[in-house]
Amino acid sequence: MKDEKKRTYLLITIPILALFICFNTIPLLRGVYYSFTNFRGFGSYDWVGLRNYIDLFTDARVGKSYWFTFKLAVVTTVVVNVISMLMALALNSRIPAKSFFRGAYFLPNILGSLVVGYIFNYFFTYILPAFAQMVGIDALKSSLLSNPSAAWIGVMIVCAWQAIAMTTIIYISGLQTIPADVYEAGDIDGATGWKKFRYLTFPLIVPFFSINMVLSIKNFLMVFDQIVALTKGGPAQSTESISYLIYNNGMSGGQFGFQSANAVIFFIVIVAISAAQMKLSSRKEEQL
Amino acid sequence: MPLVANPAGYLNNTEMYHQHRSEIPQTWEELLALCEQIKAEGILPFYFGFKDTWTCLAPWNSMAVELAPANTAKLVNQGQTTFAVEYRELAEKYLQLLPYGPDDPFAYGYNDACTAFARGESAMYPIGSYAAPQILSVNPDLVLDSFVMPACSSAEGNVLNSGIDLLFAVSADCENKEAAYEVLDFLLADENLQQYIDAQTAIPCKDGDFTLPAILDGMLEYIQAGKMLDYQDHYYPSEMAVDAQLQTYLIQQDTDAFLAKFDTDWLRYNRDIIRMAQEYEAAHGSAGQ
Amino acid sequence: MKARQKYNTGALILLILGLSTIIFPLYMTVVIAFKQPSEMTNSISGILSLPQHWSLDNFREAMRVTDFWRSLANSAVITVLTVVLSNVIHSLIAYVLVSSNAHSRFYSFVYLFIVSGMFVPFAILMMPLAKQTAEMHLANWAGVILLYVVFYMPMNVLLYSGYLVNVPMALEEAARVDGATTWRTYWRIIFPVMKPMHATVAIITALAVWNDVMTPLVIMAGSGQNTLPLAQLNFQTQFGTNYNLAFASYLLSLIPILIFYLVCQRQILSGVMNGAVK
Repeated sequence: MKDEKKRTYLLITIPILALFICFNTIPLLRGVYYSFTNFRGFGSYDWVGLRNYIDLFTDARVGKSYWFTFKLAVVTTVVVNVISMLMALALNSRIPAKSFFRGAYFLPNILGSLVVGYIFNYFFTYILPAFAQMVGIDALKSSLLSNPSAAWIGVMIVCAWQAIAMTTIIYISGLQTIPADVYEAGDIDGATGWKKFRYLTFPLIVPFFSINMVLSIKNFLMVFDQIVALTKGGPAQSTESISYLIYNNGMSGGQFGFQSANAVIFFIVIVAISAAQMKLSSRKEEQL
Repeated sequence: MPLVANPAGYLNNTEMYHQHRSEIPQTWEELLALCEQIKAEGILPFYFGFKDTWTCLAPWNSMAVELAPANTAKLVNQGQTTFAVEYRELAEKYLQLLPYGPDDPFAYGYNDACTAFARGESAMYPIGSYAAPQILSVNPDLVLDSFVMPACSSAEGNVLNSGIDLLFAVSADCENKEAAYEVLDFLLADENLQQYIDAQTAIPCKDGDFTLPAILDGMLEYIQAGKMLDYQDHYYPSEMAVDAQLQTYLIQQDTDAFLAKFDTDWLRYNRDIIRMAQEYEAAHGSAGQ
Repeated sequence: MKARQKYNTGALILLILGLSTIIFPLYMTVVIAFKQPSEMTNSISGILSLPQHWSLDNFREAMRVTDFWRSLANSAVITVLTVVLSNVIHSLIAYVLVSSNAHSRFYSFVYLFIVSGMFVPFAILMMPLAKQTAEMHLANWAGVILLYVVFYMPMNVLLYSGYLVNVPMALEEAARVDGATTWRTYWRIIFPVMKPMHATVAIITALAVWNDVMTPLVIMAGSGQNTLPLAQLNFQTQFGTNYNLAFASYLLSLIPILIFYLVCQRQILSGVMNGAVK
């Protein structure tokens, strides 16, 4: 009996593992290999050793893309989490038509981010300036997306618009794990409003808080669709996200080898961030 | 096998333009004076679609053929000059065009610009004739002219910027060469070629009796005299993103920074080619300009 | 337990205001999609007003230009096949790994190996995969499906194994005693028991695959076939001078998922919640 089980398991595992290795591990290894060459994506190539990596650290365009992507990820995460927390509290409290509201607020998340980006592109280029013109707000009179220092805000708004839904849902399920007795005990002690939130609610949903942070930052670091739809990396190359740069310069620009090195660094960064966050949050959870 | 070439100067809304004048500027100074005049009449001289970075290259290319040597790239690769030297006048003159365009040229892309120009929002549009079909699709009644962009101080220096636009190639490994050649023969047939150039406002690469589209009349003398030079950007490696760098330059308007970056980026993205070229020339001697 | 009927009006007002940020872009999309270019002015009334005629012309034209039905079919085929394959393959491997995890170094290594794939961003895989799928003649919708099955394996294995830990061994043992093979036992008993998780995995995977742009862009861009998002990307410039056409096309690409959402809203929400919590 036991052998039959073992054999079946092996027969199942081997092909699936092979599939995984073929389409995940091997490309990863090939990517690392290419990062040491000057491959253009076609034709012949030479081994160049660490030249790509050295170039990476002196290339202003790459540096700019990391700065932009991190700035976007951090700010959007904060904005999204704050707003989502508020929304979750609101959607969890005593209001009518709860499921209608939840359904409506989740809507942005299921829409394709490319099309959402195109819609907001039109909004930022034509509608917002028209409104600003009418109401007289000078700062918004010209398109947000044509200003190198403000274009990232446009991207952030679109990312947040879609992400708030998911994060709110996570917080709601977090809030629902708090048993009613906790609140009742708090009521007896006279805890209300902010105090109630800070000492009762928040500590109990910290696990969900950390999930959200990890997911949010990781997701926003990989932003691509919105860049394609809104700015194509401009203006003045101020909104080139890391993924977009790798695709644009690596696949269309013929800098396969160089951007493979960029991708390797990116991979290491993502792993480092996820690992660090998990460590941080498990320590926090223990403390509580 | 090259099929057609496109000429690039600037496009002109004939009706709007000729309402007030009839002379076509032959020098840079005349062009600027004309823009001042048009602006004084309350009309926008140029429209730009700089949100799409590639459109930044259009005025650049049409002026580069007159202001920088045709073999600039080669000279730089040989170490005989730098872009900071050869492109300085070009870069500075480009900036002088900006005040004659819309307030926020970076908010609108190529399509927006074509639409705006087609609707009569500006008198001229510094882009190649390849934009004509797009423009006419918005406003089929528009009458267009095209002219060489005069970047020099004397009319003799004017050169038309023109390069191969469409080119076909059959790979040596192709298994269906006969069939491929049949298609190429079809495309090259006079009546088919004529149809193409009528629809796309292009110049055929084949010798023969072709009627060039009326829009190209303003450039006809240059075409017939062969006073044409290829696009400088055909030498720029795509990974260098010169179009994006140009857009940055037009926003920040820092000529020195732009030219310096051009040189350093060039050396970096072309180092393999430069090394190969230098090795070749060391072995075989330089084969003339 | 006091039964308080009072509603939290502050929250309610906030929610209604917030709703406008969601409704407004969608309202704009619908309105612009039905208008003609001549009705598009830059004034407020021009922007907010309803179209004069509600004609479907824009939609017909957009469908023609983007080859809508074919792209839709491609998206549907890819999504359905990916979901089916994922549900089958990922649950199977999760079952094997969970059952053998505890007493085999080999299987616990495989488990970690697969789950760690979650940290590999698509960015580093995209270029080598582009080359590899071309070499394997998989630079088409079939390759895209295979890639999705592999790419979502780590996350789904995590979800399934989390669920399986709670399935009692007693179930298995009982079936085994009757003389059924392991293979049979799995399909007869374990697989159906995981139904809630199948729903969750199906929904999460379907949503991700349907809207995905990068993978089809990198893998099947040259194959002459489009998914719905890819069609949108490719034909964006063709609409260049006509925003009404463009918006009609956007609306068309949003409608399928909107319908799906309206019909299965409850399942989707609970599925996503489940997945996120795990």
